[in-house]
Amino acid sequence: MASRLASWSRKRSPWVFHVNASSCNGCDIELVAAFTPRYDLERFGVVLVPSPRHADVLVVTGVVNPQTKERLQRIYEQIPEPKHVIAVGACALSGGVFQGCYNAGQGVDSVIPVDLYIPGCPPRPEAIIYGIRKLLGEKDETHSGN
Amino acid sequence: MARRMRHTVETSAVDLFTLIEKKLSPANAKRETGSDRLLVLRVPQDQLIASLKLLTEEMGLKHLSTITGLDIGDSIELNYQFWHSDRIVDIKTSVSKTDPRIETCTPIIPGAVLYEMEVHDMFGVTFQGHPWMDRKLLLPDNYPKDLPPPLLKGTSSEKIRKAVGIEK
Repeated sequence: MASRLASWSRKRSPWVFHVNASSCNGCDIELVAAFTPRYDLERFGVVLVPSPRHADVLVVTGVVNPQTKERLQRIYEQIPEPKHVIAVGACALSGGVFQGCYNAGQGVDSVIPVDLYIPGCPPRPEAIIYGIRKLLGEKDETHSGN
Repeated sequence: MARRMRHTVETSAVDLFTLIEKKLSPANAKRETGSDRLLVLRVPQDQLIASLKLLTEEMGLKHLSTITGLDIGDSIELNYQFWHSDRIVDIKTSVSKTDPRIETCTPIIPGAVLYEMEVHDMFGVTFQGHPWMDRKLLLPDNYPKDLPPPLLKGTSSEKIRKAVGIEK
């Protein structure tokens, strides 16, 4: 009974912890803009939390360079199960425009397992909302993805 | 109808730039390319601190925007960029690659402490008198000691990636 309640609340109100793993901040700006009243991610119950121990979903932006790689692994380990990881932006998918650079990683999935990828440079807030809802398994009637 | 306020207080760009050139000419400053918004002056390495002192204390250019480096073959060119209202003044100097040392400008411009650390990390230039030359600002702690700094032209990205642990 309690676990049904817990999984219902995780799906209806996922709490998100955002990590900037050496991003240029473009994706971070679009992610935070998705929480503003104009795009309004909070109507789905999504809340940004200050600690990974309170989170259900980890959102990672940026090309993961050697310094942020170990911090990202530590943060991922602190999130309690069940957890999901979303990689936002071209850099988080594969290294983006910085592929091959002396310090550019090969995407977030070379460091931690990723459940959802949101491409774009940066992705629009609508794309981020569409992605998060897809992760939660919501079905959208309209094609616009809102 | 109110007139638009001008956001510069000097009379014209040419006056300021000729003043700077005249002020710095004892230091053998040579003017390179530029427009009426950009002044590029090249000074010899030993005259750099004196020129910066003149600029900041007597010409009123207090905002050092950045210090950039460029690998031009057998020397590394340092570019001290000043931002003055809507104009930019570049002071360029060269440091040889075999002995890349130059005096620090932090006594004159304390804010340059991070810029010099970045040039030290990326090009290997040592700024004598800088308080934190033993620390790395941007490079990871496991950066290999036997490889050259990353932004020099001959450095191989693949070797660095393998050594730092990004690629196998």
